[in-house]
Amino acid sequence: MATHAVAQARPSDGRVLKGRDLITIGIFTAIYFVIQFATMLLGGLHPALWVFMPVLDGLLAGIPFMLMCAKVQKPGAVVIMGLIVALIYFVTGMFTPLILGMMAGACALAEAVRALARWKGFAGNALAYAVFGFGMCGSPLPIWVFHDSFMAQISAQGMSAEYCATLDALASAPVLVAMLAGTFVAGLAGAAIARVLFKKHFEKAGLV
Amino acid sequence: MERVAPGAKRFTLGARERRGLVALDPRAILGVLAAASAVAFMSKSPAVELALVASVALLQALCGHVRMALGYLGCYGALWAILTFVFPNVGGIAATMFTISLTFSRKVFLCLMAGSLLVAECSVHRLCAALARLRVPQVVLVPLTVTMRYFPTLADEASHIRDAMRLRDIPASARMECFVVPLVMSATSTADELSRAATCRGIENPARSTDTERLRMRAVDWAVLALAVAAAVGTALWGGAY
Repeated sequence: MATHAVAQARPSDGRVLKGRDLITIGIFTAIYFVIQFATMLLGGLHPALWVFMPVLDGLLAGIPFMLMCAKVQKPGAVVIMGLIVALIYFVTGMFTPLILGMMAGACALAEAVRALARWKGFAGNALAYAVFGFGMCGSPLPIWVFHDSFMAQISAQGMSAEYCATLDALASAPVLVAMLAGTFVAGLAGAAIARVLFKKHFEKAGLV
Repeated sequence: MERVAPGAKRFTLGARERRGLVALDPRAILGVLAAASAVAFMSKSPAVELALVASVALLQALCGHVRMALGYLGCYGALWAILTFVFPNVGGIAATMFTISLTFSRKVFLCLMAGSLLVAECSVHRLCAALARLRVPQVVLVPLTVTMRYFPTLADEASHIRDAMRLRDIPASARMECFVVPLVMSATSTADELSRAATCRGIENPARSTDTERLRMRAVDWAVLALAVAAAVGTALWGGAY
């Protein structure tokens, strides 16, 4: 990994995203998206899995995000990652305006956190990741925000009565708080998992 | 247009391939895809949905993908029949699970159709050229292309790692780690190699890149685009309740 050491030894690249950074972002976004998509599919199994999908996502998707942050210490990386995920979801028709809003807000906030931490260090990136996780909270959020119309819509779409009842039971304020808090904590935990793996494997191999 | 002797294949660099009655510009298909995505979360009556599916299938057939069009129509029919006739009569947790996934697939069905058409009609290169014409900035276009192209590689890598793991006896507790670490390692080195290759090919050049694709919006492209917008607006206004 000598070539990589050379690349790292040039911090004078400035804070502008270069071709190398764009490609790194693209590759880790692919891994992030696959993990995200897998948790999304799991959410189809049970309403509770769907409601807590952002939590699971935060726990599992830390590695690509943290590795990307470690490699691209520049502004804009997180926004581009979020944008690509949003674009793929958009063209596959899985996007609601609510997710879009949450994603935009979460990305902006995560960028702000990274800027304050000067784009390096574990703590700043971990916090940015935990904030970034809120983007996907937009997926189950309609069951609280548009509770009545959403319930009417899904029962009209042919969801069974027991599914609707389970979802209705989940649509309470404590669950909302648990989901949001859980997403944040799971994000920090996911970042910690990534850190353990970094220390154990990637730093030895000279990747980070 | 010059005359071409029958049987001789005229080759023009970057020309659109003509399979069916019409050949669309990628931007026109992108417009259809955007309209399909917008329609996906509007409420619409089954009749409207059927009409939309049929019209996208017609578009596919006109572009020369008759088999694709028939396949999607068949799938949609099967999906609709299962959701309408089978599931209301079968209860149980399994039926609930399938209802969710099938309802979901029905929701994204139009996007799938438009997406398949886009993938079948143009290469990634052609699509990128079209996006660049649409003034999508490089900072978005480059990572997007890399992401889209990396998905198949990721699947390959994953199957190689699974094969390698099968050869050894990895304890279940270590399986996750043994899967993720090599995957991320290879992703990192791919990123490095790709960056070097792209730098050699001038990715850092600030000037606008040129391409060999011949892209032009013709009357038929504008017509398809207008129909897609009209269909989306029409569904929003008179789509009816589900």
